[in-house]
Amino acid sequence: MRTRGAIAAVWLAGNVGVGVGLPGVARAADAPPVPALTDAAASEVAPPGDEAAVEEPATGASPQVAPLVVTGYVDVGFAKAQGNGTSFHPADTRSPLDYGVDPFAPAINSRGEVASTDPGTDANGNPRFVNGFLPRSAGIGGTPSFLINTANVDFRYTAAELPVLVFTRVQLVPRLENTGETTRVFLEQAFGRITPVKSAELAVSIGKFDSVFGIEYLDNQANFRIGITPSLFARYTTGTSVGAKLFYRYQIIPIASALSLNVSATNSGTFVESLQGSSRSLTGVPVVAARVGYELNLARLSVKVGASAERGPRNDQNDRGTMQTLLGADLRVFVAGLSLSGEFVRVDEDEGNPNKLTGLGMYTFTSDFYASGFWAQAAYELPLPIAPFRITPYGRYEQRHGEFVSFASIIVDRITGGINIGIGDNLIVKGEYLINRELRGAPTVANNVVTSSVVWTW
Amino acid sequence: MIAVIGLAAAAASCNARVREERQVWNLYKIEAALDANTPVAASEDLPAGIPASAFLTRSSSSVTLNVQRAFAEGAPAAYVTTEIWVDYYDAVWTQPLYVPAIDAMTLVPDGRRVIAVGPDSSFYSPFWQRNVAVVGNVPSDRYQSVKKLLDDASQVIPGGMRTGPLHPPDVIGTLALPKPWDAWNVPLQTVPTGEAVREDEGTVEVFGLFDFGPNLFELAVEAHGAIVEASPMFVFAKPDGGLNVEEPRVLGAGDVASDPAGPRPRYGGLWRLYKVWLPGTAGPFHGADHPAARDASAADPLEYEGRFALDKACFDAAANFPGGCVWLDSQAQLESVLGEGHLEPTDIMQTGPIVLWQKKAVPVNQ
Repeated sequence: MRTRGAIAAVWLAGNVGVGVGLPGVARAADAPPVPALTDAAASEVAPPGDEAAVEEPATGASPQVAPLVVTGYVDVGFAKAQGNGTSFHPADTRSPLDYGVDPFAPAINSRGEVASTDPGTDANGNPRFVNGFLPRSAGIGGTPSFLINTANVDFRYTAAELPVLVFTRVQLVPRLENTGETTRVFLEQAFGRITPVKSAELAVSIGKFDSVFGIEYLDNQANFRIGITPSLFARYTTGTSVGAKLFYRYQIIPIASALSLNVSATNSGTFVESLQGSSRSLTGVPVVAARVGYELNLARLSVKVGASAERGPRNDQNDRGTMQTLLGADLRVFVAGLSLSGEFVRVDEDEGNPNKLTGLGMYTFTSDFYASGFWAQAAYELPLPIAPFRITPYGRYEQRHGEFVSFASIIVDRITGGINIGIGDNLIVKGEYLINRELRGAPTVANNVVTSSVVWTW
Repeated sequence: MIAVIGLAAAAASCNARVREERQVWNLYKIEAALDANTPVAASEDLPAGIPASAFLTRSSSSVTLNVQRAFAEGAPAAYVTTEIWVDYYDAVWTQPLYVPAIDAMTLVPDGRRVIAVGPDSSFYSPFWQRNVAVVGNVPSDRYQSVKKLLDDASQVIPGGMRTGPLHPPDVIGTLALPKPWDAWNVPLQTVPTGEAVREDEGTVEVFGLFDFGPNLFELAVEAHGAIVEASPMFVFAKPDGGLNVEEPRVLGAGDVASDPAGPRPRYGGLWRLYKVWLPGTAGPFHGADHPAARDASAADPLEYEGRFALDKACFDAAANFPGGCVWLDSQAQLESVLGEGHLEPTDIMQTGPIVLWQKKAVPVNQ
C-alpha cells in the first residue's frame, strides 16, 4: 500500500521498501501536485548512486521534463486559547515576565505562533517588562478566530547540466496587528545544493536551509506535520539559518541499514528566528551543528536513531565568546501503521552582552539560560478501507525544564491529542487540543488551546 | 563546505572578542567584598573601584550601613548606598513582593514576604511592587514560593511600590552621621527590617529585607516595559579625570515634602552617577586647610565641609566666607554655573535613600 506519496514512503523505508505510511504528508508519487519538500527530507530520500533522485526525489520528474517546479500549500486555521492567550499570570509582575513562564506554550499553528504574547500592564497601568524570550504571536488572544496560518510557495529548479538544485520557499503570513493589517513575507529557505559525486549520497547546500539538529525540523511545514503545533523544544531545534551544510549517507545494504551525517555551519544555529535572527552574523563566528544517524529498514519495521550537537556563539548578541551548546538524541520507530517518535534536547546558553537582538527586535540583556526535556509522540493510521480518507489519531507528551539562571527555574509539561484526516492528495484536516500545565516555578494559568488546521496542497 | 567554514574561521580570527561585563552589587556582595578587603564596582568609570568599607562597617557583632555625606539644593544631605549597578544601561526594574493575607483587610500574622528574585540574580532589584495575596487563615510559614502563593490566592490586591534592599542577617539598620557631621548630634532613624523568603528549586532562602518606605522612585515606560527612573547624582572629577568618590556628592533635584516629623524626599531610590568636569580653579572647602575662613564664618562651617566652590580662592578671603563663594551644591547651580556640557553621565547607578537633609533626619519608611 503506497498511499502517502514518495517522500514519506521512501523516507521511512530507505532502500528496502517498507510501506509504512506517514500521516500528514501529501501524496505525490506519480503525478502533480508536488508536496512541499524539506531539503533534509529530500536529502534523506536519495538512494545511493541515484543522482537524479538526490536532485528530485519527491516527484521522480527528470530535469528534462520540468526544470522548474512550483508547488505550495495553504494552511488555514481556526483556534481558541484559554484566558488571554498568553502564559502570563495577571498578578505576576516579575521582570522579565517572559523569563518566568513558558510564553511558547499556547501555540496555535505549525509555525509555533502563540495566541498572544501581550504582557499586559501591572496594577498601576505600567506595561510589564519582557526581554525577548518570545515566540511570534498571531495576536488572537482568547478570542476564537480563523487564520491564514501560512500561504506557502516553493520554487525548485533543477539544472540540466550540473547536479544542482536551487530551492526557494516563500511564505506569506497575514495578520491583523494593533497597527492594522500586515502581511509578513518570510523567506523560509533559499539555497542551492550540489551533489558532486555520482557514486555517493553526498550533498552540499549553501544558502538558507533547514536545521540539521534532531528530527522535528522535518515536520516544520504544516503539510508534513502529523499534528498541528510544534513541541516545546521546536524553538531550539527547528529554525532555518544561513550558511553551508553537508549531508552524507552511507548505505550498508547487507544489514538493511544506513549511517548518515548532517552538519552545518550557519549564522545562528537552529533557534527559531523569533529568538535568534539568521540573516546576518552578529559575532562573525559560525554556529556548527551536526547530527549523526543510524537507520534500520526491515520489511515491517523501521528504526531510526540519531544524536545531535550544536555549538557556537549566540547570535542575539555580539560577543563571540558567549556560547550556546545543544545536545540531543532522537528515535523514530515505524511498525504496522504505528509511528513512534521522540527527542531529548538539552540547551545551555552563556550570559552575553546587552542589547539583545532577536527576530522580534532589540531587548535589554542576554541571560545565562539552561533548558532540557523531551517529547514523545505516537500516531496510528487506522486501517480503514475508506479511501481516499486516511484517519490518524495521535498524541504527544512533553516536559520541559527551563531556567534563566538565578532568576527562575520552571518545569512545564504539555499533553497534546488530535486527529489527522487526509483526503486524497490535496487536503488534510487536523484538529488538536493542548493541555498546558505549569508544574514548578511558573504560576498556573489557563492557557490550554484548541486548534484546527486545513492544509490545501497544490 | 570546508572552504566556507575555513573562510568563516579566518574572518572570525580577524576581530577580537567584544565583551561588556555588567555588575550588580547588593549588600550580600558588598559585604563579601568587605570581608575580602576588595573594592566594589570597578569599571571603566572607576578603574580602581570603591573600597567596600566606604559603604559598610563591620563591628564585632554586626555590620552597619555607612551614611555618606552629600549636598542637595544647597543644604547638607546624607544617604546610604545599598546597591550599585555597573553597565546596566537604563535597566533596573521592579520585582514583585507578596504579603500573605487572611482577607483583604487582615494580613497573616508574622507572614513572611514572598519574593521571586533573590540577590544572586542579574535581575535583582530592591524596588518592589507590593501585593497582598489573600490565602485565608494559614500558618505564617505556609508560603515560600510565588507560584504556590499565586496558585492558592483567591485574590491579589496590588499595593504600592517600596524601596527595600535585601540584606544578610548580620547587616543591621542602625544609622549614624559620619565625621565631621557627627558633631551635630542628629539622631538618624533606624531602618526597619523584616524577612523575605523565596524558593528556588526546592531550596528555601530567607533574606533580611530593609524597608525604606514608599515614594522613593518612579517608573518610566520604555519599549518593552517599565523601568525605574534614575535621578542624577553628581560626582566631581579629579584633575586626572577620575571620579572623586572621597568628597561629598551633589544630589539631583526632586520633590521634598516636609512636615513636623522632618523632610520627606520623594526621590532618591535610584541614582545615576554623573561626572562633573571642573575648571582648575574649583575645589572643596576643608576647614582644617582654611582655619581663618572656618573660624570667621558666621554660618556653621561644618555645613561647608567638603562643599565645592567654583573658585577655591574664595576660601582665602575669610571676611567674605561663605557668601563670597560660588558654590556647586545643587543640580540647578551645576547646570547654570558649569553648564550641562560639564555633566557627563556614567554607566554607574546606585540606590541611595536620603536619610538627612537640611541637618534634619529624614523619617525612614513613613
